[in-house]
This record gives sequence, structure tokens and C-alpha cells, in this order.
Amino acid sequence: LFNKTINMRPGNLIVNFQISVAGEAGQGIARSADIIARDFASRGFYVFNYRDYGSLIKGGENFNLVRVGTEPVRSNNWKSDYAVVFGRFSAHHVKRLERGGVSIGTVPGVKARIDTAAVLRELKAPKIAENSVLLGALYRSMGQPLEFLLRQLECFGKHSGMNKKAATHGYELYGGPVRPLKLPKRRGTRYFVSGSEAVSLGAVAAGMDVYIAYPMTPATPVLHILAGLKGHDISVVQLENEIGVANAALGASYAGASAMVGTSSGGYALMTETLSLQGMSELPLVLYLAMRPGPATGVPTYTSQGDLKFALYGGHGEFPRVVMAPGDPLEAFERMPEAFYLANRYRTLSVVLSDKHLAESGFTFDSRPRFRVRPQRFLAKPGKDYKSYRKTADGVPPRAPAGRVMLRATSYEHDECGYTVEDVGSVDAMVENRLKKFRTIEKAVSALDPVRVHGRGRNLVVGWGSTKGAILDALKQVKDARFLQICYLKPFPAKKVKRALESSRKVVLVENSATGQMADVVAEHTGHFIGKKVLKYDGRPFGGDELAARLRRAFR
Amino acid sequence: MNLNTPIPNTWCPGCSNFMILSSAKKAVADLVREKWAKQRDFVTVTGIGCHAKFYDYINTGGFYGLHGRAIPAANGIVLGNPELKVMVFAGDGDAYAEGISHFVHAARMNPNYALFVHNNQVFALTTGQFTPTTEKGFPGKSTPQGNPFVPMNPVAMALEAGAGFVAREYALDVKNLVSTMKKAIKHKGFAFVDIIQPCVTFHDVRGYMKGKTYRVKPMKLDRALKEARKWDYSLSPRARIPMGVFYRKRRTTLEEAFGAEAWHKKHPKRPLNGGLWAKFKA
Repeated sequence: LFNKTINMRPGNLIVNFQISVAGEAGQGIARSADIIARDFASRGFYVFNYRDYGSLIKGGENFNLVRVGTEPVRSNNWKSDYAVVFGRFSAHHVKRLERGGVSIGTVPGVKARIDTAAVLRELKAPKIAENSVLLGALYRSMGQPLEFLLRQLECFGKHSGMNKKAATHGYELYGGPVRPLKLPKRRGTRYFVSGSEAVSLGAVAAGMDVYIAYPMTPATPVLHILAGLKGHDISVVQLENEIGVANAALGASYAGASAMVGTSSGGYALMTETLSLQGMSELPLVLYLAMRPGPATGVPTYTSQGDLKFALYGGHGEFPRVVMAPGDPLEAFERMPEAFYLANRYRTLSVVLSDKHLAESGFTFDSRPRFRVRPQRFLAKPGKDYKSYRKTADGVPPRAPAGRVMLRATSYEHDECGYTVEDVGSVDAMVENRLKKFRTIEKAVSALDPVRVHGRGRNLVVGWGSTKGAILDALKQVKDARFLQICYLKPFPAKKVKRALESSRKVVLVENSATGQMADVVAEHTGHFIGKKVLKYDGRPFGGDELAARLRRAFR
Repeated sequence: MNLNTPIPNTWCPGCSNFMILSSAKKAVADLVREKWAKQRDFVTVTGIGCHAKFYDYINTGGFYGLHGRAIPAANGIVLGNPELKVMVFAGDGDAYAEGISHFVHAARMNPNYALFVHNNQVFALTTGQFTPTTEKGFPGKSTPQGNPFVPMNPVAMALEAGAGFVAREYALDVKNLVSTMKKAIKHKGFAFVDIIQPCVTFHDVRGYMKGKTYRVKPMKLDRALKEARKWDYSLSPRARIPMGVFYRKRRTTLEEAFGAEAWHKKHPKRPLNGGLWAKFKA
């Protein structure tokens, strides 16, 4: 039916198409896309929802791309099969169509122009219902039953009646081209989830007690989601700035709580002083870091992996830490308990590295999460001889809560009891005790699948974090290549990565950054230089087709 | 009850920090004896500077924070376990320079702890530079020409920012200091005490303070502000310096506002709730 997007295979109808919704902020763009995505997901299809928005609240040009398939879809392309376009500045989206695609909307150039103003006037409906009129028209043009749409419009609560009326009008009045989708019947439960939702509920599942944050895109949704949860015994607190946030989290951890903070690139910069305090005080801390393009304010509402090295090394002094980079929301949900487990068990810092693309895109899964560890607070029952910084074989002093014992936590070099020391002998002994933790944590992480290999082939794509979706989608169109996903960036799974590199013909790094920082990290730990890099640094994620073409070129 | 530690004291001979330390120990000892709290419920939080050696010299729980960050660390401690009795000791460099934003916001947010600022009007451990409360003209090592700035008034600032307990005391007036410390620790909410502390090495105001102080009692906010403005920290020779508790009011605390509770009061089987994933069913 549509060129490239729908292929027939004997006995098995494979469908894969994309809908774009473009308009101004405040017109309900994200909500409309969410409604479409949820409809197809609830009917058993795989869905990917990409959200593109600027740093403004009303006006401008926002769009969402909803990809739908009968087989897993994990990325978007930059051309769609259906486009709903209704913003003053969004007319160019009409041109971003596959051959034979349908465009519907209120702007010049669309194939089916709809007078939404007239419909709304007739219904005496407010302007905000415009998107429902257009959704009705879209469903007609896709040849999809109206009932599916109406069911999703229930999400408007007390306004759902008005929105349903608007959608029904849009559906009935639509006289434009119809490109009916022939969809197979699908069964099976689909979970539709964004990275932010997965991080939030994953943290709750992991037993988080306190979440402290200062708003910063794209980490803010986690603050909102957690603040909106009820009945989970958690405190969600916004404080005066990121420095206050990070120090307070260590305070809460000192008091015995499982504490987590969340921020984005610039906020993380402010927190680095406190990360160093974590290293010395050895108070457990989980940090959610959602990256965006820098330097400085950069491009606040877009995506980047450019803080990789900063996440690995931010903070003065030498101390161990864990940095993990989930590749999709299911992994994020599964990894959150690991973040808390490692932080509390080894009295260390766990950084969960994400970015705008993972945080704000919607993904579907058909499986439930599997946990590798059982997180707890790891609070020792302190005896009379408890010492806050007792030297141990593995370098991890037993954790105890303040109040049960006169617990000491300090930013100074200290002895086993936590008292300040500066003398030769004491200083190096304590440094050496903390050094043991590097090895201890490395051992623990090596049992947690720190790397994953997807697919088969002699060539190797190396990637980490949110590029996973586009890489998996692209590899369907690339011959003889497999994907090495590095899930734990620190401690770095050097042996496993080295083995994969040495058993491959050509190696290409895929990274959403300008310099390809993972190549340096790999070189530091394995001595191997990855010369070929496929990079993207315009703030946008890789599209599946786009990446496939670039990989084919790189492997040629 | 032993509030002493085995750590040798390294303050200068004659340092007025000794008086503040003995006052704090007396206050804690009294409160424990009164069965108001157990010794291990007390947590001493400090910043960085001469005052911060408190951490090593008092036998309670201790959190030796970063310079300027004692206040936010304490915010987290009461959020993590509201049952702890937290005393924050900070310097004027700590609370009024590096950590001024935390100070103002703590006054607003009203976390339940006492903040004692050792205000010696000088950076002492870095060997003598001006702080936000140093008088204009002070010839510090970074300003040999004289400090060009007028001092700020932390008592007036705390009142304006909404603090529910605001006091000023003098380190050498141990009797009043102990009494105000106890009141501050017992106050539910943010209790701020600015302690004028002569630095015998870099900023000795013992002579200046003689005969200038008078006592005040808690009053209404407008009057308290007026009273607070009677001394502007400028070391003018004719000043009269009000001492004591200026203002006292119970407000909702930070940890009450966010429903914080101690970890041991939570449901033990909370973690690994895989059922949460089901919420994402499309």
C-alpha cells in the first residue's frame, strides 16, 4: 500500500507506518499523539512515540511522531504516512510525507484542509477541542473505526463528552483522501511507557524513600510523576537549588533513608561538589541524570549523550561510583533496583544516565520486568563496637542509621570512628580502604549483565543508552552486524567489551554527541581505538532509516 | 553520659569557640537529663571553618558537611528521619557567604532544627579575610585597603525571610547562651541564633562589646524587625546591641509539609513492587 512502509510476507501481514501530529504548543499536540499511540498499543500493536518541542509554553512549533508496527518499533523516521498539521508554523510538515501519504489539517498545502473553526462554532466548542476534530478526520482517513478513538478520548474526564462530539464531527465531515490501513488482528498485552515513567515507578519499586529535585528539563517529568503518586510512603521534595538538593539527599541517606535526586546536565554540574562529599562520606546516593545538549543552557528541550565523560568523572578527588545507562524504559525499570542495591550495599553513588530522548519518548513492551537484585536499605544492627568507617575486607564499612547509633559522616579524611585525621599513616590507610571498593563494586556489577549483545554478525555496532532503539531498528536493514550495548559505563566492563571488539571485523560507534566520547572510554579501558563513529549532534535522536543508511555506509 | 571526645582541641588559646562548645554540651546534657531526648538522638551538623571542629569535639551523631552546605544537609536529615534532634553549627562565612541561599530558604521552609552561627565577622581558618558581616574598613589580608562593603544584618534578614525563631547571643555570656540554645533546640521549626563570637586572633570585639548589650524578649514581627535594626554590625562606637530571643512563632515545618517519616516506621515489605509495571498496561 505505502511504499517501503508496508511489506507483505507470505501468510504474515507486517505493518509499519508513522503518523505525525504538528502544531503549536498549547494545542494539544502531545496529548493527541498520546491518544493515537495508546489506541494502537491497547489493540496489541507496537508503538513508538517521539516528542519534539521547543522551550516555550504557548505557540511555536511542536510535533510528535507516532510509529506503529506489528513487529517491535523503537524509533521514528523523519517522514510519515499520515500527518495532522494545524499550527501556524508547522506547514513544512506537509512535505515530510512518504509517497502516497495523507496530510490533514488547517494549513495551506494539506491534501485535506478542514475548517475546524466552523466545526467548533457549530458545536459551540472551545478552540482547545480542535485537535479532537482533526483526530476524527485522521481516523476516517486511516479507515479506522471511530469507536477506538472515542474510547481513548475518555482520558479528558469531564471534557470527554465535548471532545467525543468534536471527533465524531471530524470523522463524519471528512471528505479527503482515504488510505485505509489493513491491519491484522492483534492480541497480547502491551505496556506503553516513557523513560520518565519507568525511572519514577522503578525507583518506587526499588524502595526509594525520598526523592529530592529542582526542576530542570528533561528531568522534570520524574519530579512530577513521583509528586503525583499516592500511597507509596515516599516524600517528594523540591528544594532551593541543585546544591541544596544533593546535600539534602546525603542528609536523608545519613538518617537511614533510600535517597534519590534527579537533574539534568547543568544541575548535575552544580551537584558535583556534593558527589565528591558522597565519595568521602560514603553515604549511599542514587542520582538520575537526564542529559540535554550543552554546553551551558544549550538546547534545553532536545537530546544529547554529550555528558558521558562528565557523568563518569564529575567531582573532585578519587572515589568509586556506578554509572548505568538503560537503553529503554523496560531496562530503566529493571535497573532502578540495581541502582539502589549498589548504592546502599556498597555505600556508593549510583548514576542512572538517561537523556531527553529516553525520558520523553513512549515505547511499548510485551514483557514484564525481571529484577536481578533485591534492593534494601542494608542498615546494619549496630552493636556497641559500631564504627562509622570500620575497615573491612571488601572496603565497605557497614551502614547504620543515625539515631540507632551516634553515626558520623564527614567530608574530611577521617579514622575508622569518623574523627578527622591528617597524619601520614592514617590518611593513606583510609584511602587504601576506600580503594578496595573499586574492585568490590566491579565484581558486583560484572554479575548484572553489564553488556548485552543483540543480533548476529561479524561487524559490530557499539552503543549505549537511548540510541538502542534506533540501532535495533536500523540493524534490520544492515547485513552482517550485531549490536554491543554497554549498559554499565562504570565500573567499565572492560573484558567483555574487549572480547567483543576483538572478535569483530569492523567496529562502528553510534553516539548522540559531537565527539563520540565512548570511543575514548573504550580506549582507556581496553586499549582499542574505535575509528569509525556515526554521530549526531543536532539535538535530535537518530531516525531508524537514517541510521541504517549511515551504518551501511560505515560498514562498506 | 559523656559528651567529650578523645580528639585534641586545636582552637587558638582563648578562642571563644570554647565557650560555645561548653554551652552546647551543657544544653544537650540538660535536655538528656530532662528526658527530652536521648544522647544518640542528637546530631551535630557543621560546615567548614573553625566552628566546624565542633564535629570532632562533641560526642553526638555528627555530619561534617561541605563549606556553606551544613544547612541543606540538615534539611535532608530531618526529611530522612524527623525524630532526630538536629543542631547545625555554621560560621558566618558558611551561612552568610557561601551558603546564603540555603540560609534564606531554610528560614522560609522551616525545617525542624536549630542553626547556631558562630559569627566572628571574619574568615579565620583561612587567616583573616572579610565576611558578609565584617564592618566596613576592616583591613583584611584580601583587602589591605579596607573592606569596601557594609555588613549585612542576619537577624533582620532571618526575620524578613520568615524564620519562626530568631535570636542573638554573645559567646562570652554563657548563661544566656545555654538558655537560648535549649529554647532553640526545643523549638519546633527553624530556630536561628546568631552568636557574636570574638576571634582573638583576627577580629577581637571583646572590648567593643563591653557594656553595649541589653536583653530583649520575644515580640511581634514588626517590633522585632525594628529592634533587630538597632545594631547593623558596623562596630559603630555608640551602638547599643539587643540580645536574646527577638521572635518566636510555630509554623508548619518542612518535613511536616512533605509528610516525611522515619524509615523504620514504613511498611517493611514495600520494595520490589513489580506490580507497579502493570500501571503501564495500554
